[in-house]
Amino acid sequence: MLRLLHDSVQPGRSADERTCPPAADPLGQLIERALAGERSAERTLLITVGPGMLGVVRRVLGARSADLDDVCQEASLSFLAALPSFRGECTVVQFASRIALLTALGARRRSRRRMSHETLDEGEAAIDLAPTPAERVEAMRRRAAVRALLDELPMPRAEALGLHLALGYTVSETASMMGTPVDTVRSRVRRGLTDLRDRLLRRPKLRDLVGGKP
Amino acid sequence: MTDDFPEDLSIRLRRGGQPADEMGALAQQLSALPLGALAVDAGQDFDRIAAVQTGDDGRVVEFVERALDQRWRSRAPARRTLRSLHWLIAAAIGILCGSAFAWGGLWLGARRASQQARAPQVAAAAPAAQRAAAPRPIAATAAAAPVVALTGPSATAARAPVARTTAASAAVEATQAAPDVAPDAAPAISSFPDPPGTLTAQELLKRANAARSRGELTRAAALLGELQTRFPASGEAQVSRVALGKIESALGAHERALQQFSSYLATGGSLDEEALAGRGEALCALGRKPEELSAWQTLLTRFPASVYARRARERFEVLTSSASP
Repeated sequence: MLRLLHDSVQPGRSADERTCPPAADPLGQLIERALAGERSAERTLLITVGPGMLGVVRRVLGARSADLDDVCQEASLSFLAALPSFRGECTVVQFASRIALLTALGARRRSRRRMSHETLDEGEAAIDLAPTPAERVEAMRRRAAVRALLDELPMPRAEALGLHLALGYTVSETASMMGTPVDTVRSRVRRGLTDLRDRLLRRPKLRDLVGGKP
Repeated sequence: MTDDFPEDLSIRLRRGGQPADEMGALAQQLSALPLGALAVDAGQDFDRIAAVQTGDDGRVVEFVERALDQRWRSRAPARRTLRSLHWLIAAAIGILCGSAFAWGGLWLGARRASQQARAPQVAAAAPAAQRAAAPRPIAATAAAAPVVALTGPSATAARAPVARTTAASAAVEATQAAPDVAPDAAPAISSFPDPPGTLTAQELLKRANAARSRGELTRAAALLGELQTRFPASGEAQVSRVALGKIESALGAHERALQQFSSYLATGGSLDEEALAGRGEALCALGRKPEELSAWQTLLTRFPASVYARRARERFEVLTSSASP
């Protein structure tokens, strides 16, 4: 994962490929102190980005996953380890979200052998705010299909789809977080959504979940 | 948001915050896109489950503390290794300098002796000169050894040319001195207990969490007790009441657990749900049924969708059925 991060934030890329201008991030000073090895700065930084990371891991693993805390801990460590590669192309919170996403995707892939293909997290239905029970069940199935797809796609496509669809980042934000041209992100997102639609259409029970025109 | 990509229409709809008519137009645009409706539906499925939940604050603090603890524990041996390496390098420099000086001294002494041997009038002084060149530094080495062991690498390197006479003695001193000095120079975080009363509230909470994750419940309870005694008004002390309550419950000290949960609830906070559940369990263990019933009722009223709701309803049914004639 760190290699992926490192590769994607190469400073040698052309400026045209970057769409997110360097922002004056309020957490910038904390990063400098954390990089200098100041433990209190590391703690403050993690406490600040922690809730966001927890939200990301929750989306990928499932809101009631037993692995939430362990994966969040792993993501926190990866975040601190990756700080030297942070060049300010996106915000610190976005950087942390991306690391949490990659960590959670990695954890799912590692544990895929011991999970059924599309695990339904029924505990999520209890906290889903969808208005009716039928919609909650539909949502649960759609989430399971997206997660299964994220497990199977090549990592760059899974990452783009995860950032855009599961985490709700725009194409430009996703491009700046990944250090990838926007057209590449658009292509990956479109292909990911097409894969998702095809996946749902292949199964009679899930066809209704596609929505809109097939 | 100023992005104009069609893929971002779904994100704009998900984020909301625009007038109703604009949102309606947005939904219409999306429905015309082949994958627009699917992108919105699937995205909103994820948005709805990612809301902040009760207890998230405590959860974040816990995984952050565990991560930091792991990070710093793994760093400590590396730093110690680095220091040991510094010592070895310093010792090696000392050995080289010492042996160079020793060889230089011997060579000068031998040269002087041969010159003196050539001069008959000072022939008797030669053994004295040789004694002055050789034995005196050996005595100096013995005197200097404890100093070397107590001082830093730079001092070792500085003293070595003067004190050390032979490579062998220097090597022996170096191998003996290094292991004694290195551990003190970089103590592992958990190797040496801090003097009582020196830790901050954050440190105490962090160490208690670490102890708890290692299964050292008694140690964790002691640290949390110290936190509450020394920093009773701190935020860490308030959070610690729920953690200590859980630990006391696990240790079978239900009365003390009850005190902790009740104490937390007296002020309240983001861990109310956990504290109420803990209070209910403690009262259950103590057999104080009317109070237990009240605790579960409060939990169900305040947090009907709680993860503890099922347990609360179970106990509520048991308690109400046993109370009815």
